[in-house]
Amino acid sequence: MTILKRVLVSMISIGVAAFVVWCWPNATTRPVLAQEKRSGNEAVFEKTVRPVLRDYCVTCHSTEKQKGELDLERFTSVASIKKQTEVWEHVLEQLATGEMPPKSAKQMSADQKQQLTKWIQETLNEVALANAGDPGPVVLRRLSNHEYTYTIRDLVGVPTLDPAREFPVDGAAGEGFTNAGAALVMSPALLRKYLDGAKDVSRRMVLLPDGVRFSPSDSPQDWTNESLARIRSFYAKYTTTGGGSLTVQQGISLDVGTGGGRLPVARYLDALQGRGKVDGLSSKYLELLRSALSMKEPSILLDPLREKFAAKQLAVADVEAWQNALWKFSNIGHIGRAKGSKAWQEPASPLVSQQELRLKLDGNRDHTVYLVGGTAGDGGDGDKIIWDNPRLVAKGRPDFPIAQLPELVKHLETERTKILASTESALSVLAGGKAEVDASILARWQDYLGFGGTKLEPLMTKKLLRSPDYAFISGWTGDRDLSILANSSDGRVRIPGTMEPHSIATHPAPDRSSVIAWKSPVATDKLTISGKVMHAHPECGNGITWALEVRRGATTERLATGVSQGSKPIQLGPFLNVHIESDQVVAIVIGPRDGNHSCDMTAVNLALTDGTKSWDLAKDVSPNILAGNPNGPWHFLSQPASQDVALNLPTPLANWRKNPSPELAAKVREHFQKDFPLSHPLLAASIRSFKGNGEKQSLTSQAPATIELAIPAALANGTEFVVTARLDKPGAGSVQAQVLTQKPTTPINSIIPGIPIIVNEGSPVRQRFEASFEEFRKLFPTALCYMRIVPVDEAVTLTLFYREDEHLRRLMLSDSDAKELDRLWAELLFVSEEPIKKVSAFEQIYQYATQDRPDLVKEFDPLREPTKKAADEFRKQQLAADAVQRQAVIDLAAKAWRRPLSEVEIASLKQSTPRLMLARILTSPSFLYRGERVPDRTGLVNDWELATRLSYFLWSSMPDEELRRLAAESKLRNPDVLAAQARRMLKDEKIRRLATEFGCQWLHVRDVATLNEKSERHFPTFATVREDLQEEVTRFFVDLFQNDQDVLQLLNADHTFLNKNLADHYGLKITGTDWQKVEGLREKGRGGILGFGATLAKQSGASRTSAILRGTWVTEVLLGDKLPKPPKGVPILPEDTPTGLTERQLIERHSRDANCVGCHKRIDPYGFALESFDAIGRSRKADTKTTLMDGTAIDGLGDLREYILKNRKRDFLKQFGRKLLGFSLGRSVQLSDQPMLEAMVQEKEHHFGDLIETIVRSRQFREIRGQNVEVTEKK
Amino acid sequence: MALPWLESRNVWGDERPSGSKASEAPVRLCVTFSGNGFHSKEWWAKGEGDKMELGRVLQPLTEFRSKMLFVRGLYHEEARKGNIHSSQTGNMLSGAPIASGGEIRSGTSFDQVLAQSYGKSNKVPSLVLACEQSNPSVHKNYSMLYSSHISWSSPTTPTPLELYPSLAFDRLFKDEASPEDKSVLDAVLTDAKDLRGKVSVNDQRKLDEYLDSVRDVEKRITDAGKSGQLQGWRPTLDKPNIKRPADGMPQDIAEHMKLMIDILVLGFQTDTTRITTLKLNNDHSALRFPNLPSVQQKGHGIDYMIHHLLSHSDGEDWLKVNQFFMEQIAYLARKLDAIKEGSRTLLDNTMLMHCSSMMAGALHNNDQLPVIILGGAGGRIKGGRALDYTGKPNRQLSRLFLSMMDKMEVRPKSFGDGKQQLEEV
Repeated sequence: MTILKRVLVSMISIGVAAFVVWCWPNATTRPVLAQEKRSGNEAVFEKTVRPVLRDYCVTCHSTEKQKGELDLERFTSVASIKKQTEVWEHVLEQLATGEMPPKSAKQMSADQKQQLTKWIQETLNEVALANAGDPGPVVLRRLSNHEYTYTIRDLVGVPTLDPAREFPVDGAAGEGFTNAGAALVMSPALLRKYLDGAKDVSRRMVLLPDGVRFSPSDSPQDWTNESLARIRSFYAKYTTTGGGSLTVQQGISLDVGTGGGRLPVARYLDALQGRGKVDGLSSKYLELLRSALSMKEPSILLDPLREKFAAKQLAVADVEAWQNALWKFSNIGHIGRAKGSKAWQEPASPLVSQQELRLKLDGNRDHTVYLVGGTAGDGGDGDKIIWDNPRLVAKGRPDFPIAQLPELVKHLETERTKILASTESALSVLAGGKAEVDASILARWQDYLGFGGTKLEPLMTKKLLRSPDYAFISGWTGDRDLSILANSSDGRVRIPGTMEPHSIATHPAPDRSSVIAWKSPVATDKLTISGKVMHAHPECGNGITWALEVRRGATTERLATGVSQGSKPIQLGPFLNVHIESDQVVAIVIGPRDGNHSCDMTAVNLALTDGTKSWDLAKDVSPNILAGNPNGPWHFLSQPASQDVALNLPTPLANWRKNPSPELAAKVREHFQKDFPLSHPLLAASIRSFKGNGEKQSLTSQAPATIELAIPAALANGTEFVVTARLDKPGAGSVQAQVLTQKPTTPINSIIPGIPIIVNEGSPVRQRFEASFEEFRKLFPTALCYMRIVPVDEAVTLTLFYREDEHLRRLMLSDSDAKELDRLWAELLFVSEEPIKKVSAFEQIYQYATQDRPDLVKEFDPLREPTKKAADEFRKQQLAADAVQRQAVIDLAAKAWRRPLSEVEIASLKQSTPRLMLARILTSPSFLYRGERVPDRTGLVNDWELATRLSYFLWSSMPDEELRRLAAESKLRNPDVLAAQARRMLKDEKIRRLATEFGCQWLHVRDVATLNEKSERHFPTFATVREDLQEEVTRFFVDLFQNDQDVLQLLNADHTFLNKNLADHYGLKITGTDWQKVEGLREKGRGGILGFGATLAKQSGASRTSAILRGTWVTEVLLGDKLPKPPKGVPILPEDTPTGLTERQLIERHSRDANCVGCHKRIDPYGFALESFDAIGRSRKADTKTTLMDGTAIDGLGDLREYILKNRKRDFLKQFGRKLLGFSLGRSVQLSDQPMLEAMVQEKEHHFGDLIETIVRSRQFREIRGQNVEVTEKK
Repeated sequence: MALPWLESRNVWGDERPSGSKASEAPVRLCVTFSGNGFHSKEWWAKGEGDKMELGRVLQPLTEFRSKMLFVRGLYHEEARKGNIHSSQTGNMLSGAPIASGGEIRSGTSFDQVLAQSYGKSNKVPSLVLACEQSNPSVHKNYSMLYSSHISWSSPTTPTPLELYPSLAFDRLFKDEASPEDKSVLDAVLTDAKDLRGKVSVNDQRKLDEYLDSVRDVEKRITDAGKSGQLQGWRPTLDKPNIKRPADGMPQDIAEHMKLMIDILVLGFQTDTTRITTLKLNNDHSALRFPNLPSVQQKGHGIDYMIHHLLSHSDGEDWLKVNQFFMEQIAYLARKLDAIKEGSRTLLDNTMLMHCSSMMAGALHNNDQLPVIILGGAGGRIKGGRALDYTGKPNRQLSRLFLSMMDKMEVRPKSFGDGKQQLEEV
């Protein structure tokens, strides 16, 4: 704003007439100086004005006739006219629009008309100047629904709240906005809604230890989750989730799901080594790290890292390898228990005094094993390694020292020869023939072929007499849920898991499979086997594995196997003509899938028949499962879940078994001659029976060195190489021992992360290592904090929220950040009422854990008292917080009521609970109404009221902190401060509300986003674009406001704002889909408010355009012209739209009527110029040539714009100013506002910020009319 | 104590001053409104009783001919001044002058005069419902509040409209008795009284709207549970027999109207209220009717024009829309007539008045307004008649309102521009 203009406005506002003339250059409105007029004006009235009135007006508007309720005869003096200016404003309008005198009456000459107009105008101007700056009558304003909503959102900080969504729609008054007091009514029904709205908001208030906050939700569970999310997002600022990969340490995975909390080593190393940005990194930690990695103090572990750092080559992997070695994680639930861990993340130590090394030898081949000794990076001093008792270990047999291997091989080869030699004779005996065979060798064949029966153990021995819920469910159980159960009733029950009537079900243990075995009492080739498996508890469990097997001695034939998941039954078989010997076994094996042991209840059945006899598990066992185990041929047992099934018999043997002839026995021998490894089951007994000399052996080496051992294939297969390494003597020395299958290429002189370091207890070397490790741990914790907070790694735990963030605090946080984190935690515990919840959680866990573990009572009992005490403490804290919370609500009240509270008010408010306080605050008239104290005489409102005026003008909401501060300091009354604040507020994003409440309401598009007036049949796409149409207008205004553009841009702009959806609607191309500023609109036939789809659609019918509506909109809304009211009794439009007529032709036909043509000549051409847009604002081809009322021929939107800019600019600007002023004051614009409006129009440029400044500096805006002010211009 | 309805035994101790017998069910008032008038040639009725002939607009009401009073020729003088639409509607039920410019001023409507006297001992003194929300703008210097409100609680207060069926239901039946609410209201009443001393006289008037509202809500809370017992009369239902409607606004206009009518009837039937107003749409209405098959655009619904613009055309589709509105009135009358109250039906005990702000939308003419009354006002109005005041003097519509108020024993000296009742009614 120019200095000049400031002076001007203030001059006007204090009514210094001398300046006014000078700045009032428009001839038609130039007032004559008051001094010279006082005497002369009365004479002019008598001489020239009155006669014209008498001749052309008073004929109808006489005291007697009062046509149109207008009596002009009574005005007999200039003074009488000045008392009723409204009447004369109306007269002026009638003259200007040519309404009066009516066409049918006598017409005044152009001169007379000009003279009359000029005189009335001058007289009105005189009155306007005399009263300029009058604040005018402003009725007490209730907050409009929109203001109420915005204010509550700003007050509580939750932008999604919509407490007024079901309130009745506000009416408009004044200059057509919903913020005028006259239209804002109150009623019991509405008051009830306010009360309910206030209660609804207060239910979303979250009580905190240090005050209150607000939530979108009214559910305490959501509040807790919000508090959790706040802490997590605090943590997330400093941590990483580990790049998406899963880090598993000591069996605990660190980064699953909501996990995270890792130290972001990579970003810091990158930043410090010049590869990445320091933005968002903790300067505290950067400094710490830089200094630690640059230090010279010797450190076994850090020195190699420092070397790399100096060369800018320190990689994440270098650090991570040691993090993995030096940290371990444990379950939260175990923390603090006897023998439990102390924390989630704890130091791990790779230091050992001796180390057992193991190597699995797989594959049937010769192996070479290397015993590798390394120096652990501190030189070879004293690094002599003893490798104790190297040996081969396998299940079910004695260990073999490496030294005895040659002897064992020899023994087995001898045994193999013997067995091979006995093949035919052994088989013959087994087939019932006669031959000489060594009894022990025959036994091996018998075992191998399953002729000696099959061992069935361990059988379940514990009886379940009845289930907890049902007497008719009983069975046998083992450890950890292992069980087999029978339902002896006719009922289908859930135990849980469904048991059908008269059925059998079984549950495996996490590490053991349940086996139901049928031991054959018969020998036959014609056995038929069938069965069924069905997971009985699919809503909970993850499924089971199953197998149907025929077991013959050491061999097992698998008939079928699979996984069962979901409640689909799986039919097994039938398998026909199965060969089985007496005492051989048919078994169903149910295994836990993935070692998961919950809800694995599985229904099973097995039926067998040899043609004469039949067996059926359910039928045989369900009535009396407890009769015994075994129960007839049925055996209930378990086996390790991991047990592999023995290989099926080789084909020649299988063939022989079907037909045990000597020829086939010879084939068996041929087979074994080719394929008889020393690890064969037939030799198992030989290995078991081998007894070496029992001597243990040790090897010795000096690190760095490697010992090489050869192990023959025959013995290696399926075994494990084991050796124990230690230092040769107590005292100094440190080594790392490895057993490898590949020889290292060079001697190992450095320290290797991830494998143990052998040092002697208490040695100085050990201390050096420990110190170095501790140094590393302090610098590089794997995790900075426990990001989950709610432990999920344990089925049951007493810990509701677990906090472990010491590393974060120590390494990263400033004091204030640490304080904030503490505050968030205090909030979480308070909001969730954790200590109180813990009391009931404790009881539940206590009951659960001790019901079958009475020994745990001892562990739990000591926790009860502290838990209860913490809850009591918490209740005290809640009580103590009450006062703080009440004060916090008082602070809210001062904001909501937009002024300081009196002591009485504070005391009165504080009597209620915080929630009721808030309900009252938001229902109180101090909140709902914008009350202002009225002085006796017109004068300034106080600073608080001024803050409220400004804030509701620009933001439709309460003052923010800065305005409140300035009000409190009494600075807002300074117009410069006020104007500066307005400028600041224009930049704020809350100015969007001015765009919708003023901009959109002025253009009549406030409701286009929900406009329901379009025919879906004609415009099916309208509903998908209407929100965007309104958004375009809003964004346009926001841009205009924030960037202080000239308001002529509203007409003249070459740009607008579009997203993809709207650009498509307009047929324009943009890149991307988001909202963006788009230039070059004029070239496309749009630009400015004339081309807004929102206005074009709003001023159209349901199925067609309306040049009348659009023309009226241009006339009244944009140009501020007054139109006479439509005549009553206009001709009725034809019943059907005649075919072949365009919308334009239809209207032209209608408007041709003599009654109508006068107005429509003014209105319709504007609309015709916009005919190239359809009824929802899309471009189309149409005849847009037209002639305006004043004879100007134009064609289309572009010409219309140029016409308005050239010929009607003044009217447009005045209309804009009028609307803006009306909106800012919440009333109609009145005569005394005219000088200010004129001043706005007269400026060379019309930047929005300047207009706002003019308004907020004006007396109208800053003052209030006094109680005793005489109102001159009211009727 | 609750007494059952006993046909043979009248036990009611009516405290109302005079007139109706204590045992009789009370007279109820229901005013319904649709904007923009009707088809210019099809709103008429001739003859008497069952012989009455009806214009096509009124045909949906054929079955109620003998309970219908057709009134032609009445008008409001004040509505002839000012603008069309808004200044014809805002005084529909008061006949008061309408303020233009930035102001809002009309007159207290006769339904609200009754609510403040006759209706005040009911839980809900009056239920003011609408099926189209009001229009927040200004049309030719008149606030569109006028074209959206026929019911006015005071000259400056259009009675807020309830648009949501669920909330209308709550209004009638939600238990308002909460001690916490009362404590909040007590407190804000104090706040308001404190504030009142500090604002100007004009503003005090505005603030009194607030004070009265708080007192009213407080009184409801205090009176909750007592309502209806003083009169001794027992309604036919003591609690709602339909479920609370779903939240939100029904998308289908027919569904919306039906729900509102159901609630309105329930309000009468439970004697929760005796005065209701239902604005089916605004004057200047933007409703469309895709659900009604078009005559003029065969195979389609009447969705090509909004109600207001369609009213200018006077065609077959306009007639169809008129009939649609009359069908809603017929549905309402049918529901009321199906409810027995002693020897009469609820319809017989009701004055169901339907009106519009102009005669024909095509002409914007309101020198005679379309008015019908269904029901007998407890035997005080004789149906089956067509009254014609065309060409007669003193044909103020406000006189009809005086007559109707008289049936409810409320007898102001004058109302609007009406000085005396219509003898014929």
